[in-house]
Amino acid sequence: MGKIILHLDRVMVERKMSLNELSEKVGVSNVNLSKLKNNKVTAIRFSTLEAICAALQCQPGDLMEYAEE
Amino acid sequence: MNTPKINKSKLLHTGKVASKAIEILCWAGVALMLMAAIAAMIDTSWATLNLMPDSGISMNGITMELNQGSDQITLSAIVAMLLGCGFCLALTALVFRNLHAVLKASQSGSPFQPENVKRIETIGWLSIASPVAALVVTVLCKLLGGPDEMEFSLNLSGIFMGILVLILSQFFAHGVELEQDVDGLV
Repeated sequence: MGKIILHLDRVMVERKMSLNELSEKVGVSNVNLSKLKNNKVTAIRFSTLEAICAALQCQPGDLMEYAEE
Repeated sequence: MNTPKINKSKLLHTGKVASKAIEILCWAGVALMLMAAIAAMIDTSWATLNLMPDSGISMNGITMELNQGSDQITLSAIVAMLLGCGFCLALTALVFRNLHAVLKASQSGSPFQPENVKRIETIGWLSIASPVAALVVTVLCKLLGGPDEMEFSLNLSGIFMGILVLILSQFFAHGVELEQDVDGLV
């Protein structure tokens, strides 16, 4: 079984957005965004994904990828 | 994860303090019962002198009544009753010890912890065991020379409460599963 890999760190670098700035725009704590960046989460709410996509002007597909193990 | 509001609840804080106080009182009761049992064994006149006809002893659901003037209670029965009451009090103390642990754990984090489920289950089993133990002690007292007309009773409310607590522990177990499900959710 494969797994979902998040690319939030890459998209943030491309958009030149800091963790603090994204945290303010999305309304999610730095701690949780850091977990997202480091692939330490097991689930993500649609509302969080929508807010991140809106803040980073991207698609969910830009943020995550399915990889075979 | 949001900090649960439960850890600021005054009711929980009061319950925590009260449960610890009751636990201490119960252990003190256990110590008193042991001392009384030892005292009764050392000075055999102590118990019989204080038991008058048409009187009785009732402790923790265990009742011995002297209905007739000719009724006698043997020392063995009195000692068994005192030790039995001590045992029942120890069970009650353990109930409150577990309750205190549940409240303490709930104040420092989420109440839905696997340890809390075990503690609540233990409270349920202890609640059932207490009235059963009282009945067993009553039967034992009768066999060891209790009065002729001894009252045998089983406190059903304690058993029902135990069953209710056991059912609630299963709801708590489901809560633990749900919490583990959302653990790591952003």
